[in-house]
This record gives sequence, structure tokens and C-alpha cells, in this order.
Amino acid sequence: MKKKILLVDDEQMQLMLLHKLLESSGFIVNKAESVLLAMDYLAKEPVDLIISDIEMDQLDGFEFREILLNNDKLKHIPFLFLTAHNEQMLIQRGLSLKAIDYIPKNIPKEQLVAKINNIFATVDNQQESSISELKLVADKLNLRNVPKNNYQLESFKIDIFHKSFQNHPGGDFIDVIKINDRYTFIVLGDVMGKKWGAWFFSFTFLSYIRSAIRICVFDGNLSVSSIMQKINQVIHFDDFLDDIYSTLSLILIDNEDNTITYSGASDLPILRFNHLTKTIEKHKSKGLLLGFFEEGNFNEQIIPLEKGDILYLLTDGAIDFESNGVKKTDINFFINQLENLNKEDKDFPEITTRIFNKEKYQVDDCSLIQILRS
Amino acid sequence: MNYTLEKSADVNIITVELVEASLNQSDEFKAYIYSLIDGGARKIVLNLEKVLYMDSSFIGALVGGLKNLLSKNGEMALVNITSDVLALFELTRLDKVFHVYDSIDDAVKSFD
Repeated sequence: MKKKILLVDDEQMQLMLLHKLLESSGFIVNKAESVLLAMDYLAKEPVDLIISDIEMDQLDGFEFREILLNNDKLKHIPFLFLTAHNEQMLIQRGLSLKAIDYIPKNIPKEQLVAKINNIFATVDNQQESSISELKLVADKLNLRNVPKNNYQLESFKIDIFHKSFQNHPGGDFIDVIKINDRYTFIVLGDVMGKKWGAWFFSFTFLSYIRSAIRICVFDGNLSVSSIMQKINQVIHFDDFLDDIYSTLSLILIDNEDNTITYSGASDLPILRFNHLTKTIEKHKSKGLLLGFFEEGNFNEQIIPLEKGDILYLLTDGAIDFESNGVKKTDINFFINQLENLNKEDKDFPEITTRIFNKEKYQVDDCSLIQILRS
Repeated sequence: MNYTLEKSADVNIITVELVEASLNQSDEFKAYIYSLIDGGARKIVLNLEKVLYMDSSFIGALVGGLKNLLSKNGEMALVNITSDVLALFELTRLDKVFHVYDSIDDAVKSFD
């Protein structure tokens, strides 16, 4: 993904020159002619780097830096000063404000771009190293909200694809709960939010869902809508999850009758590829967001799945994407891609590789589960 | 400021001045709605005409604001939802959780 840079300078000509130079080097560049305009921009859009002039009317570059340092959300954005001077005193003051470096206004293009690329590489390395450490701890504690394996049942093959967002764990959670040789539940949820916060709460949802399924099955209850309502009630009354919401798709596979029963809570429709007509049809559920109301209005439906048919469960990350700097949600675009790839008889790894590629930049963690009636 | 507040009698009409409403603004938005509710607002209309994309973090903040308001016997209405956002709300039944109207006038009247 292209890195975003904010340029702050009250000299329009300088802004335009630098803007052109950096944009031609592959960065997304935005301009602000004053500190106040820069702050307005930053309130709406995060950036990866700020390059600011020092001498400006009203608020100068040093004051801008001080404002940023007092803002918890913005203080970590790498910051470079742009200066026409080479005065030691100015340089010292800037560096004491934790600016990464100075750039002389007459710096050659190659040097400037190399300097910026080095900054981004250092930031990315530090971020990856921190995430790796956290992941290591999570692995040691066996904290996993997405199974590692795919599953082969007698008449069904289950493939799981999950891609994290910017290498951070996220709020998508998946579970495959095999009750016995006949019954297997598949769970796909998405805690609203991103990265670590959503990841943390996904375990609470998962443990409630696992417990509800086990208790209901123990009582002889295999109705997915009734299990969904049990989960909904527990979450509704849990103060710990008072402000945290999750979607959920719940599937029960009956390996003996070869049927699939489905219930959902504010989830995206599940998609069925009919191998005879070579088309995809949507199956929508009626259930509302998990835990919001005491009664979640859950229904259940039997999805017909003949030999060769395929069922897909997905989270919103699969249909959200960024193209040319614009974010979009488009389920029909996703369905068209999926339909065409299935018409070409592509297997699951190829389908996911083709759909979730570099041209379609992800904006959230995304999950796709394929259930093939074999 | 990413939100503009207008008052019409006891109705608070908030225009969300964002094209992309996502994780980066969700905490700020939630704090804003909560502070309005803490300040006594009980009838809130959210004008979403400028929002072309909304992610699940922002929807979570929206839902949190609604739940907070409902717990205080308040009401919230969404208006001028753009087509992509409305399609997502309809797909995920959030249009059954929120009251959705075509115009601010219709939303204000619904509180009568």
C-alpha cells in the first residue's frame, strides 16, 4: 500500500514542488498551508509521515510539533522538519522535540526519497518486531481464534482462509466443533473493531459460543436458531461485553442426512455455488446483532447442497477493499469474482489467491470458509 | 471538527463530516455521542449524507451510541444514508436495529 505523507508549509510554491516530487516517487501526498489546516486534516485522516516547514505565520513548525506531542493519537507519527537554514540552534531545538531529522529545502530528490524510504523501513521493522513478540506470547498460551487446519468430513470438505489486516490479529473468529461423526458445527464471527482490541474480545465470544453449543447439544437441542438465541441472551446480559458487538454465522452439518442448517446474526449472506447452473445465490438470515436485543429474531434455514455444490461463509473484510485510495464495500463484485473462478473450476487456494491479491488492497482482516459437498 | 451539531427544538441533528468513517474516528465519534447523551440529549438525528464508506469499527460506535441512548429512553434516527452504506446496513439487518429515514424532516417528525 502506498504511504501517505502530509506536507505543511505556508509557501505555496515550495508545497507544490515537494508535492510533485514525492507524488512522482510513489507516495500519496497531501498538503496543508498552515498548522491549523494540518490539524484539521489529521483529525480526519491518519498519515504515515509529516514533513513540516519551521518558519510559518501564526503557529510555526516547533509549535506544531509540540501540539502533536501532546496528542496521544498523533504523537507517534514520524516527523521531519524542512528548513532553509542550517543553524545548529534550530536543529537542536527540533531534535529535542523528537523530530526524526531535518531536510534542507534544496536536498536532491534521490536523497530525499531515500531518506523517506529509510524512515518507513525502520518504522515497519519496529512494528513487525513488536507484533512478532506479541504473537509469540499468544502462540505459547495457545490463544488462537482461527483454526490452523482444514477439515475433511465424510461428505463435506471444509477449507478455511483467514488473512489478518496489516499483520495484526483482528476480530474475525472461526471454530469447527465436531460433536460426533454425524454432527459438526461451524462458527464464523466478526467482533466490530480492528486489531488487538477486537482480537481480545473474540475469545470471550468464542468461549460463550462453544459453551452454548455444548450445553444445547447435551440437552438434545440441535436447532441452530435456538442455540443462537441462547448465545444472544448470555451476551446481552454480560456487562463485560456491554459495548462490544459481534456478528455470527452458525452452521450445522449433518453428515448422515447430508443437510446444512444455518442461522445468522447481522452476518453477511452465505453464498451457495450451484455446480449445475454455475451460479451463486445468496441465503440471508434474519437475526440481529448478537446481544443488542434480548430477543435476536433468529431464524434457521436448511440450505440444499447437492454433490459438487459449494457453500461460502464470509466476513465483511472479504467485501471491503481500497482501490485508488478510495474504500468500498461491494458484495456483488466479490460474488462475481467467486462465481467466475468457480465456473473455471479453480480450487480454494487459487480462488483466495486470485481474489485477495495486491491490487485489491485489504482494509480489514478477512475470512472465507468453503464447504464443498463431496 | 468531524461532526456538526444543529438543534431543532429538543432534537439534536448531527452531520457526520466524513467521507470514510472508520476505525480512526470511531473512538472520537463514540465519545462525542456519549457526551451529548450525558449532556441530556435524548433525540438524535444522524445525517450521514457525506459518508461513502463505513467500516465495522464505526458501525460498532454507532450501535454503542444507540444502545446508550435507548437505555435512557432516548431515540436515534439515521438519515440520508448513501447507497453503499445503506446496502451494507440492509445486508446485515442493521436497518432493523436503527430507524432509517430519507430526510431530516421525516426523522424529526418521527419523534413527535
